[in-house]
Amino acid sequence: MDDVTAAENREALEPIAWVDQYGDYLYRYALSRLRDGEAAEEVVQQTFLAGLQHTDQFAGKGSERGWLLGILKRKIVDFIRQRNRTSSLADEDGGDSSEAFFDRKGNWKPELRAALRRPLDSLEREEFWRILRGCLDALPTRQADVFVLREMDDLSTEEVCKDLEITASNLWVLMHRARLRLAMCLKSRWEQETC
Amino acid sequence: MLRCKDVSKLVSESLDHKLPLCKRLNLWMHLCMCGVCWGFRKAVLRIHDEAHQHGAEIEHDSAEQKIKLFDDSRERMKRTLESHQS
Repeated sequence: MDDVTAAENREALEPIAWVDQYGDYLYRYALSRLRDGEAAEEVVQQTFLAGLQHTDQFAGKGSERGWLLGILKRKIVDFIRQRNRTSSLADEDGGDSSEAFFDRKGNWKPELRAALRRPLDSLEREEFWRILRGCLDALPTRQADVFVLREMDDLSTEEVCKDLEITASNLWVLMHRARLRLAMCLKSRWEQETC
Repeated sequence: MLRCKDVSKLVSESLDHKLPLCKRLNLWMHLCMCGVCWGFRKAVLRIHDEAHQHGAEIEHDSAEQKIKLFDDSRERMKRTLESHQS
């Protein structure tokens, strides 16, 4: 019975119609993770093609959209792994950027202290995300990619390490740098806008 | 006594893995006394929450609805699919 249903579902799949039905949704998803329109289009295209080639794997359980999203997620991780393969940890970041935030004794630089103390509570969600997005674009690619997989996709440390072929301590260093920069960028951009 | 630089590292790491008890204690002692690090921690937590929420909203298709594929990209995708289908 299940086989019959699956077969019927397979026949009902209309890959060309996917573009209008799910194209925008998958593109939005890819763009939010990759932050690059061309790259997002590319992975969506790859997703549709992979879907077309593997219609037999769509078991008919769950939604078509969910199935395609699953494929897209893997394509995004592949894309991220590929684009980070060429850069090493050190050269992209110009070494330890945290020197920019701390003095020689390891205290916050005096000019940053007031901004760090100021709470972000009055910053509305939409506004918050708009500024944070801009700040993500300003991060080195690898830092931003690790941040997105870990924070937006909520993948575990183990999963991100496996996907990107890095060690856990590399991941913690990248996350620390990313969070430092994002927090400082967020505070300073918000301050500029409210002054 | 931890320096602010070490604290910023521990604040970040505490979101990625469980810190040993002694590190947690040192971290909290510092945070209780240092308003700057406290502010940093709050910002990092907010970023953590917002990024997670935004990621989930996109997945559930309840955000950024205005972003769409360009018409010519859409057509190109259809043509590519067509050529692979036959």
